[in-house]
Amino acid sequence: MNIIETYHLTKEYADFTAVADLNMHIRKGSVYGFLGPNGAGKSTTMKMFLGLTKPTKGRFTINSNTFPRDRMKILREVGSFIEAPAFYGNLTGEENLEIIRKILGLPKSSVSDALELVGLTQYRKRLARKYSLGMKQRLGLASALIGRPPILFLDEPTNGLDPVGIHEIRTLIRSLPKKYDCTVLVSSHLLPEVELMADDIGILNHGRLLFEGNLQELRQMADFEGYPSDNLEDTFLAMVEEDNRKRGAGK
Amino acid sequence: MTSALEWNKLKRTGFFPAFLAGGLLAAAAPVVNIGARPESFVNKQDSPAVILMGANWQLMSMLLSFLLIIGACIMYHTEFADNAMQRMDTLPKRPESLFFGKCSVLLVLTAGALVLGGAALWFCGWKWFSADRIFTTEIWKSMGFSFAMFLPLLLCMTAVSSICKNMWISLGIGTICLFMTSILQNGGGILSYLPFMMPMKVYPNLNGAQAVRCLIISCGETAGFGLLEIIYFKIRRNFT
Repeated sequence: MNIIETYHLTKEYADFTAVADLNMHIRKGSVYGFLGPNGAGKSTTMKMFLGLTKPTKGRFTINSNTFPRDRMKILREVGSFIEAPAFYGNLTGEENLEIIRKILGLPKSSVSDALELVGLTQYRKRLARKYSLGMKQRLGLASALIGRPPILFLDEPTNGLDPVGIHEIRTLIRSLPKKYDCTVLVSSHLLPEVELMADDIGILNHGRLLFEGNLQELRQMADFEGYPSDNLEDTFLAMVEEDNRKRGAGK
Repeated sequence: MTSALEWNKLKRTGFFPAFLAGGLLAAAAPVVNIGARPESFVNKQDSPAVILMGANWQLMSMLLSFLLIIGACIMYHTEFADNAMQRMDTLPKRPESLFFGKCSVLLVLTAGALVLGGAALWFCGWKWFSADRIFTTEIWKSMGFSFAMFLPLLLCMTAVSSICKNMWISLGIGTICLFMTSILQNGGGILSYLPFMMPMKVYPNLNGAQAVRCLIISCGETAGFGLLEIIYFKIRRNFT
């Protein structure tokens, strides 16, 4: 069963199409890796899901809720981390989460629970503006995970983390569906990272979805289309390059 | 709950010390002014309330207006500085409630600053004019009236701050508009009802009908700015 579906979702700015005719299907309880080079439209898609930007055309459903009618309902069920950590620099990590907890009407224990999940417990009293980049990233993740929402949108969540941090967060994301019956949409421009986390992947380039399916299906498609299939990074690069070449020819 | 959250968000921003210092400064103005040259005021024929308000309210209202402008700028700066606003937009909370929550905090602090100012004026009346109960009533009525006159400015500046991501732009707009009042204050007519001019109104100098007109205009402007802000949020939601 798909928990998130998009139908011809399109976002156009004055002279630029960020997302074009996107038809995505995200299974309930899966980790969906959203892959694409910088500027492919990953963040824009996530922003549309959260109502931060309005689709130009098309529509989407999240857990049977439609936008814009059920926006508040959608936001209640979604934890998100978009682009860069967003926080109140004048407040401590704990106070930042406390504000989100109060808005979401969660129990008090959810703050310590979220801090524990991302390994920030010992820094909870430190001002968020004094956090390192990695700690800010973790705080952003904690604010997405607080209350263990059934759906998570994580936009490049491992940016700025050291290798140990990347491994920890990756393991955490991987474990979320089993532990909390959670569906995760995680974006990245690094295929090896997505490969280690995701059940399904969607490859986006210049706003168009080039591929959607699991890794096995990606390999089969690569073999069929004549792309290198031994190394998935090469597959991804070949697909994107081919798409760019076709676009260039089209123009 | 929204107001309580807004209070929490303002920790360590300098907002509360700024209001306390600004309120005390405004309150000190009449004490210093009258204390330094009492003979210029005590021999006048008008009532103590008219003398004291006439001699001090312009400076006091300027200081309080500037305080309000700074307060509104600080409040939204905390939202924009580290992108917290985006996080707020992804939570099931309407930006309108955030806006009115911030307005309610400013309302309380403006009332507090006016109480300090009123107390200072009352002290001057007691010390240099041997003022009676009528004076006391007149001063607190004036402060109540001035509170209503500050409402359009409060809503206007909070709205400007919510639109400008860069605090310096909203602060600049507020400061320029405030300086404009010193140019416009001698002119009457419609300009005297602009949001930045309203706090300059001196209650003891107005007759009943004028005071009621000011109150009605203030309520209208306040509701108008509130409505404009709601429309702005709707437009922003649909055109981003």
